[in-house]
Amino acid sequence: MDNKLWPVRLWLAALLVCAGLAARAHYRTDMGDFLPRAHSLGQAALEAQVSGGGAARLLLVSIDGAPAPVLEALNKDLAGQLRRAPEFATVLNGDDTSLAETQRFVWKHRYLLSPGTNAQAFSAAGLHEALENGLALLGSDLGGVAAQTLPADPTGAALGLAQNLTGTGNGPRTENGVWMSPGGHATLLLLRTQARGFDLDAQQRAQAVLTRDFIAARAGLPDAAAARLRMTGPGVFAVQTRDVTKRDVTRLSLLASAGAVLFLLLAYRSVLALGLGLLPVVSGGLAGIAAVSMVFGFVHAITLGFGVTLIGEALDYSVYLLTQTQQGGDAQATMARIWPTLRLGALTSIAGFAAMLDSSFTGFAQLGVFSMTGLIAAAAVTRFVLPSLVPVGFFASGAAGIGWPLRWIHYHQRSTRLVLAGIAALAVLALTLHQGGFWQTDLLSLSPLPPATQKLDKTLRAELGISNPRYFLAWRAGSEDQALGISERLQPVLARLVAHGEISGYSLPSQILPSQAAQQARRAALPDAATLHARFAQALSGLPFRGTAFAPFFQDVAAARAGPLLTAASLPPPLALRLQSMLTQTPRGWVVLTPLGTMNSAADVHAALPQGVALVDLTRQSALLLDVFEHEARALAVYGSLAILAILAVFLRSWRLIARVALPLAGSVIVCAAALTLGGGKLTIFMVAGFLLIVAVGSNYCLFFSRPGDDAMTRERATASIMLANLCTVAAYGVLSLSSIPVLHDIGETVAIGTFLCLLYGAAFAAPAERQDI
Amino acid sequence: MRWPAVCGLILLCAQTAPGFTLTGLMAQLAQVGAASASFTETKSLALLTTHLQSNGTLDYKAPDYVRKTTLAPSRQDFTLQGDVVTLSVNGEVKRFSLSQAPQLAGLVAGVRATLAGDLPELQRYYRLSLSGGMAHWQILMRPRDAGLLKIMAWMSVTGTGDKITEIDSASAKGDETKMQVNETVQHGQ
Repeated sequence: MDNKLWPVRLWLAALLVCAGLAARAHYRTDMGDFLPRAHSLGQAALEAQVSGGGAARLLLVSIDGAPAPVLEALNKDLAGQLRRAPEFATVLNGDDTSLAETQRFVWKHRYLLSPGTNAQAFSAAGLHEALENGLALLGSDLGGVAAQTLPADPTGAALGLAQNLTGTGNGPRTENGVWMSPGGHATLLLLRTQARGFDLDAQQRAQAVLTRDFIAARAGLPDAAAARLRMTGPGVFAVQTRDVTKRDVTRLSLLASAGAVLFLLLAYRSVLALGLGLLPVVSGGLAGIAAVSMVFGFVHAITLGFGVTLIGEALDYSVYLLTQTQQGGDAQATMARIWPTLRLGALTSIAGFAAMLDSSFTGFAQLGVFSMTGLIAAAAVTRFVLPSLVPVGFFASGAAGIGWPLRWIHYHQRSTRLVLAGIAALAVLALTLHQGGFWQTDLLSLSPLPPATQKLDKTLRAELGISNPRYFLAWRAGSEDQALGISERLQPVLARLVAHGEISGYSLPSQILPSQAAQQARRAALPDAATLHARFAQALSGLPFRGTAFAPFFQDVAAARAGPLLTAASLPPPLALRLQSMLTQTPRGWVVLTPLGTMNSAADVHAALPQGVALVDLTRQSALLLDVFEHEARALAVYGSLAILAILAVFLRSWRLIARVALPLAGSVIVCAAALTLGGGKLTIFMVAGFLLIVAVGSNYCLFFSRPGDDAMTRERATASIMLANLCTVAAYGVLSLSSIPVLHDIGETVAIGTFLCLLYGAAFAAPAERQDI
Repeated sequence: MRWPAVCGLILLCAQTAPGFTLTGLMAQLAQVGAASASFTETKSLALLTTHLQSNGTLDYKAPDYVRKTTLAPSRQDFTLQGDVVTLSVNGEVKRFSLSQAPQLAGLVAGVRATLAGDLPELQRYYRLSLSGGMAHWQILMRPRDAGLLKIMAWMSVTGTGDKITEIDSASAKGDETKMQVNETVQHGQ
């Protein structure tokens, strides 16, 4: 008795350990963790931006659905409310007052900010030249504006800065103090949350505050009832993704399980047997989570959701055992009989999934570990634990007739073979004639966000003038100030490139916040009051200016000489936001990523850059990522199939038998691929993983179909068990194909179609001809 | 109603010829499809001890194209088309949108809306008062926007019939600009 129970005890102990590990594992949802590890500086910079940068805190808001005056009032009310909310660090809506703070800052600190503050500019000759320019400006059509600033800023320090720092660039147009979309149908706001982009709970709270304040503002205005608030941005996406994933994973998994459970109940007519049947897959799942957590230190949410679908095969193990136990039979004896087949089936799957281990997509490597561990654990539980738990005398009383469609195929083997071979031939033809590439090259299609959401984001970004530039400069630095110093040394290089027409423009963090050294030098270049008065008097000679008018200039220079240097903390929110979007602190120091305009030749620009500054081409980066992706998808398919063939060859040792198992699988995958790409459809990496799963699950069918030497009764139970296993699989994966999450949808669709094809092809080709038996 | 306002109203009515209204004048001006003019401009700035003089040409094409070309003392082009301002000084071209420069928008909108006879647009930026009759009229404009008021305390446009003859403006600091205009107009769009 003791001897018989030790596997159960061991299993229970292992289950407890795994459950403990799973409970304490770190779960991550960041898509960045699923993608390949960053190797280059450019990738690192992009990644840093994605996970922690200022851009990740942006919230893009549009309000439409009401007449323009109502929209304007709504915008103002909402912005007023949000400015008081602690959740938001910045609220920009085109309001002059939100710009005024920046203008005041730039004006006040113009001498520290301007690269033009140097000894030459404040010499008598330099001042004279500046005044001559001022005179010309007064005569121009902007003379009215110039007359306002000239008495305080004769050197034009603020003039050069204004365009760069306070300008909204190609921002939205302002109407009555708020931003309006180009068509005038929507009013816009740009918010920055206090919380970091990846703090999803805080992001969700901020979004809730925004929605609440909008509803309140709408309720307080007449004719606003139909107004609609829409928001996008990295935080919104992250929260939506999490919610959709949660909803789909819980709801659809439940529904999928319900379908499988229904079939199992019909076949087993026993709740206990149903519960027992779930033990291998549950144990496998827990073991998988524990293993991934131990190997990687964290478990990705996609690994969890997707991994459970990969080890769904484990459910089949118990189906084979429970269904193939005949009336009056004994589960232990059944297991002894089917174990070689089951073991080979599990081994082929494990070999197939091993191909994922080497993937540079961290997520796929995790899936490899998860599914291999899960299947090993599930097979072991089925073999060593399950038979001793099956009640004596149990048999699946409802399963008897379930295999009849397969028996029909056996009976008409010749004609079904012809038809199925014909379909496979057509599939091969369709695949060879397929136009435009097989691989899904749009990474966005892997994102779980609906296309409408992605489109809204694109529109709002364009309308708010938040461009998505193609080129960036990236560099690392030990400190923020060092990063700014490098930025200053880059400025003349970039200015020269602009002057030569090599690049259309640039943006540097030192334009917003000069390094401490640069600020010190500028402050030191400002002369004391007596010296400045003397030089200015000299500079005025020969010019028609009234010297007494320039008192504000002397005051401001004196104030700047005595004032403190600027730090990131002194910046007004809009400028702090821009600086943050360029500078990111990482565990390994600071990473700078600054946008660059369009360029003639990336090679020429690259050649002009100093050592340590990288030119990042976003288009090329994504293309590289896609190359990796395509390569991995192919490798996954090729190595996975080879591994499975190798395992079959080692165990079956007969070309005839190998062909019986492998050919139906090949046929099924080919027809499935043709069906998925029909009409120009593309394959995603998830579908390729789905193919592996088809082979993993289908190889079990074929192995059971092709088992030699079973009597008719045994074969009928085997056929019934295969049929039942497939019904559960198609039901479960068919439900998953309803998901809006590409991972679940793709895998569900692929596996449901593919395993059903395996059933047909297996019954027709894998089973030995039945006619002789009858 | 307070006294000074009533006084102003009475005075204004007294100075305006009977039956001569802003609406009527604007309707007349709206008939102009295109106009071109030569101008001479004199600026007297508090900052300067001398006057600045310049001359050049003005072009208008309904509904929203205005160009001011300064020929002397140096060449400058100031073009307003729709919402876009293009300023070209010594071959250096600056281009910006009026919506990004609300104060400048008020400044040029005053001139353009007068040329186009667009009363609502004019009233959006200014408080208006009209004096004189069709043969010799003057519109006095005071900016509504505080920002614009800093640059310009008032502007006045003087004309006879559907022709503008003078545009004057002054800042709170006492800077003054006088522009004499000699205009020929074409009717119809």
